[in-house]
Amino acid sequence: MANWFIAFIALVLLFVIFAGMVIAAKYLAPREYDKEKYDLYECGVPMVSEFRYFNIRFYIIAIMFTLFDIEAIFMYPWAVYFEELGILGVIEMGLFIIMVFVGWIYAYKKGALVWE
Amino acid sequence: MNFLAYYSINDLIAIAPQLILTIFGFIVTLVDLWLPKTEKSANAFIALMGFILAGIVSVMMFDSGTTSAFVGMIVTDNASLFIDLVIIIAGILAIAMSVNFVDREDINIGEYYSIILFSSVAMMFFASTYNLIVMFISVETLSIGMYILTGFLKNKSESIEAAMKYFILGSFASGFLVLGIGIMYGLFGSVDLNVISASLTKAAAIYKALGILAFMLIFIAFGFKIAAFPFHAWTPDVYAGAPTPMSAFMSVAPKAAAILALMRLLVVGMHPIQIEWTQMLWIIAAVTMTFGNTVALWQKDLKRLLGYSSISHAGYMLVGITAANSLGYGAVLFYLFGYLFMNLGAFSVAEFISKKGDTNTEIANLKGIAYKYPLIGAAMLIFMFSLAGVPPTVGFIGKYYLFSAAVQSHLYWLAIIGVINSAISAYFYLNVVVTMYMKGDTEGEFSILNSGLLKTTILIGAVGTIIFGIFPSYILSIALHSIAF
Amino acid sequence: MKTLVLLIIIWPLIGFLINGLFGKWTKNYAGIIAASALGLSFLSAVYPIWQVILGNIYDYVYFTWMPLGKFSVPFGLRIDSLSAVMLFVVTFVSWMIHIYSNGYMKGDPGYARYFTYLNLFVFSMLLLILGDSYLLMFVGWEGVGLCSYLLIGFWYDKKTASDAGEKAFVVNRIGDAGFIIGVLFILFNFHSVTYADVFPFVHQVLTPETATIIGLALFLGAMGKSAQFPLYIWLTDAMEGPTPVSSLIHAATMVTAGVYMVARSNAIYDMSPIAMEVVASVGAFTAFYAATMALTHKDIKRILAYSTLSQLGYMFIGVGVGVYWAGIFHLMTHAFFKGLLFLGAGAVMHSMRGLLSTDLMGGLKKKMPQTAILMVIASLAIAGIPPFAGFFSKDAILAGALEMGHPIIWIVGEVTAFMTAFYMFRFVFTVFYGEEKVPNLYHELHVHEAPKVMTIPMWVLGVLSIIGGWVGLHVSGEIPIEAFIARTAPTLEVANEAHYSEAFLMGFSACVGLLGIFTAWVIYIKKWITAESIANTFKPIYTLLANTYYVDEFVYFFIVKPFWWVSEFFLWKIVDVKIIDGGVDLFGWISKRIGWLFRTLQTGFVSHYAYWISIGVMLLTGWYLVRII
Repeated sequence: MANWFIAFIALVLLFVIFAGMVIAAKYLAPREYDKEKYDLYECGVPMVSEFRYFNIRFYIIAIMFTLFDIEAIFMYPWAVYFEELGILGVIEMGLFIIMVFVGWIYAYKKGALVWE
Repeated sequence: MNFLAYYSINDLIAIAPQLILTIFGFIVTLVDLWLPKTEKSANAFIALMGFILAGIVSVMMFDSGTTSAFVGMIVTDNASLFIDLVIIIAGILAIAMSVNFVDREDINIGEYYSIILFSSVAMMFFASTYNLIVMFISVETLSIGMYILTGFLKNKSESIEAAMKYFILGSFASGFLVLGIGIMYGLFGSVDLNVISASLTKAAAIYKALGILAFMLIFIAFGFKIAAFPFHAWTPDVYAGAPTPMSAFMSVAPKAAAILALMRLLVVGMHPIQIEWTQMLWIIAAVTMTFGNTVALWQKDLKRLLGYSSISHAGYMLVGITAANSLGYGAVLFYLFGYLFMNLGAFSVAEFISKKGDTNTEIANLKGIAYKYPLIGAAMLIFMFSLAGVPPTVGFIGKYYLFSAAVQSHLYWLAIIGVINSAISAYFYLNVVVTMYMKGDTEGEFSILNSGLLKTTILIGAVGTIIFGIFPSYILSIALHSIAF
Repeated sequence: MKTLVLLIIIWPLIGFLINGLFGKWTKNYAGIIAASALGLSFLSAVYPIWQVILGNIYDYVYFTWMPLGKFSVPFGLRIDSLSAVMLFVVTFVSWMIHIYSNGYMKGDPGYARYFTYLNLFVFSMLLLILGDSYLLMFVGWEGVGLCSYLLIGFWYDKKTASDAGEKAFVVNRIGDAGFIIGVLFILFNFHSVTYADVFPFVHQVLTPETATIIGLALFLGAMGKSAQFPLYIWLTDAMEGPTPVSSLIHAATMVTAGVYMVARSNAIYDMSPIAMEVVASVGAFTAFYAATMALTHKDIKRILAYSTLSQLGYMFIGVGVGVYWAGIFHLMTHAFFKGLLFLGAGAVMHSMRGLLSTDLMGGLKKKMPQTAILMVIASLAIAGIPPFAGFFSKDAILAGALEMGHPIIWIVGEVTAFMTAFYMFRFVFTVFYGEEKVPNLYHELHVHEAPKVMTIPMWVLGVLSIIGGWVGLHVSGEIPIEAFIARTAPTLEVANEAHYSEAFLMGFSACVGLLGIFTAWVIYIKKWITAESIANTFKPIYTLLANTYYVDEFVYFFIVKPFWWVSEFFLWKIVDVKIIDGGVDLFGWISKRIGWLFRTLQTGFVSHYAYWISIGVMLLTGWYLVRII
């Protein structure tokens, strides 16, 4: 049997199994309507409206979070090669931390961390 | 694994001008936080210090040989230092233009200056690398700075609109860039232009064809930055909408960086397919020049006119690259240096006549200005003549070199198109001069931005345009000598 | 000596700087400063010129101006026999006209500005003639263009004046494009633009074809600057400027730059019979054409302007047929008598309070005797009556044309000479002789003789208009001026040079001139035939001539209009509105269809300009794909 025929059979089988699962689920699964089930989900906070305006501070906090998250992630590979990198590595990481720190001071002074 | 074998403290020395600007950028950011609202001009002072220091360092570093830093990702050579200097002078003049401007427009906040500094750093990196990924990162960084600066006039809807347009289109163009880099990497397994060049030389026909397609995608982002047809569409809107000092800065500094990066891409990376890219650039250069100059004929607003004029000047510079000889490359560098003075000067005059809200920059408002402010009028005359390419200004010398480089490469028609274009351009530049000198001096109502620093900028621009027009040899020899590839 | 040569061009620069920077304070002394700068410049030029006459050639390099890889363009000044003639003409005539301007411009609010421009003009003109490379010549070339443009529009509150200035500039730019192309070709072929690197090697480097291309391109520049058909349209409008400017720039010096350039490039032109034929033919045609237009005009400055065009045509005949010395010789004598004619016209205008029409004049001789005499002298000179200056130079050109085998040009030249004599004496007779046409006009205007500061320079030029041509007389078997100029610009050698009796040609020319004067005398003094009856007989021709052949209208409708039309209707209405917008719509439609298929991928609205980029991408890649397939 040629190789391409095996591949073809596999593909057909894949398709049949996949389609079969979808169709079976449609007919076998029990279905009940429930308001909670179809409502929008938002971290447990009760929904007020579907078109809700988020406070801009959520975004700022999120950006800050990402920033420091990346900083932390960047420090892992650096820590693994700490010895090989030597003193230059310390300088580099120092520079990097200083940069992020300046960003933090900036954000702090601008009041990004003050909620109200 | 010994990393010390790959990089050392010398790497930091190689990027000294960039480092200095970064440090000063942080200083501005921090100092601004504790500055009272009335003393924000101190930011400008710090930023100026940073630029001057970086300028001194790059001049000192000049001619100290080519240094390759950070495992070959950054290359500091004479050409990159030359462009660094262009960016630095543009930064200095732009800041001098800004001080009183931002006060008037009530946008005097530290971020303005720190963003100028940070995007200048990105421009410098853009100009000093053979690595496509570094190019991508720096072009993105500098673009983000430019987007913000374009939209800095919060109360002017054109400014916000321009920033939005610029942002969307810039991202669009970056998409092509990434795609191009990705295909390049897929084809040749590297993002370093030297390696790509070597692989391209011995690549099979189909790889070569795909490489050319990838190159074209990469070229789009560069064409977008230097405003070459048909990727130019953002230019007039952005130049007209952005705060005038930033239009001035944007018309020179990012362009300078992008031109050098483009030369590195074409001359080093795409050397094996030189026949193809010269043909492509031939068409683009000719159309860009013609488009910029013919559309500029219709402009009523000085800033918009300068926007179209900058498109046509991008075309002239592409002529130098199309020539593909060292004279052409040197001429492009020299032209950038001259363009710095004439274009910043012309924008300064646009700022000089502007009203609060950065409006009122129509050409008609120049009427009779030459009689009320003879020196400003004379300076504007010099700028316009230089942009039109009339001797003894630097614009003439630059154009002469660009076109003679084209002739040297037997591109007679391109040179002729260029010469015809500069004849067309004389018409609208001259219109400005006519408005200043020959439309009567009775309309004496000028609302001007009376700033000593701004006037100094205009003066520096005029003196530079004339001095480097009469004694171009020094800068020219430096420019020609800077080209190592 | 090196410093002395540099000083020649430095003096006007100093004058320019003083008046330009301190114009507010120098106010009433501006004229004296400017004139003395020119005087010093002339005095500095005397010794070098004398040394050149004795047989020296100076070529000093002061500094490297533009490095160009392997070679470079130096900033050097060169005085050889050709530039010596020009140097003498420019410094001397400029000096005279500066002195004259002191009287003419007195009381003008732009007094200091005027002299600033004038000094800058002389500086640029000297750079043009003394520069030792094509590039320096071009710098001067553009510099004089700029000053000419500023001075034409000097009275900017006159709309016509500023329009004329603009026209001059734009027309000149067309010519300049030709010049630049020529220089680029020279650069490419010789790898240098210095005269010393070009002319000796012309035969090794150029083929007749390349020589033709260079020659024609350069001649396009000359046509713009020297106002040859069809690029002459700016010169007549240029008369809007102050009259001394018309005299200096638009008659004596700047407009002759084209002739100088062709003579300077003699080595290149010698190689290309076609280019020379074009130069001579354009010259001959312009000479004839402009003279016919001068026949009917009534504005005294325009008559002189057309006459200048016509005389420039003669000079181009001279250099075009290869007798370069005759062209330059005529350039020199023309500078004297045409300068004088304009100064005289200026004196008339000065006392007539700016009135220009010949209809208002007549019998001015009684009020302005000195000016009248000088104008007659100058007119005799331009009409080619011996022993006045113009006779020798014009005769040299026409004899040269005949000897070089261009009999048709010779006939055209003689006919033009007749017309020249006629219109000049029509001018003289109607303005200075006869009766006052408008009673009491002179009394009301207080018409008077010009002040001494104006008449003295006119007398100096008057004397030169008489004796200036005597250097063209035979002295011990050779003509001094011919021998002198031929050192730098040797006469073209043709195989079968024709020989004609020189005395006969001279006599014939003189007779033609006298006949022209006689005709004018018959019509305007004796009135045996009235001008009106002639005008009525040849009505269509007269109208055509009076409207200057409708050239301005022609240019407007066939050149300016289509250009705007292309810009408006093609680029704006069609390219922008139809093609771009339509293309965008089509693209939108296509993407809608595609989006219908891949709805989830379509994220929303994409700005207009993004389509440009997309189209650009498609064009680029499409172009390449088509190429490889």
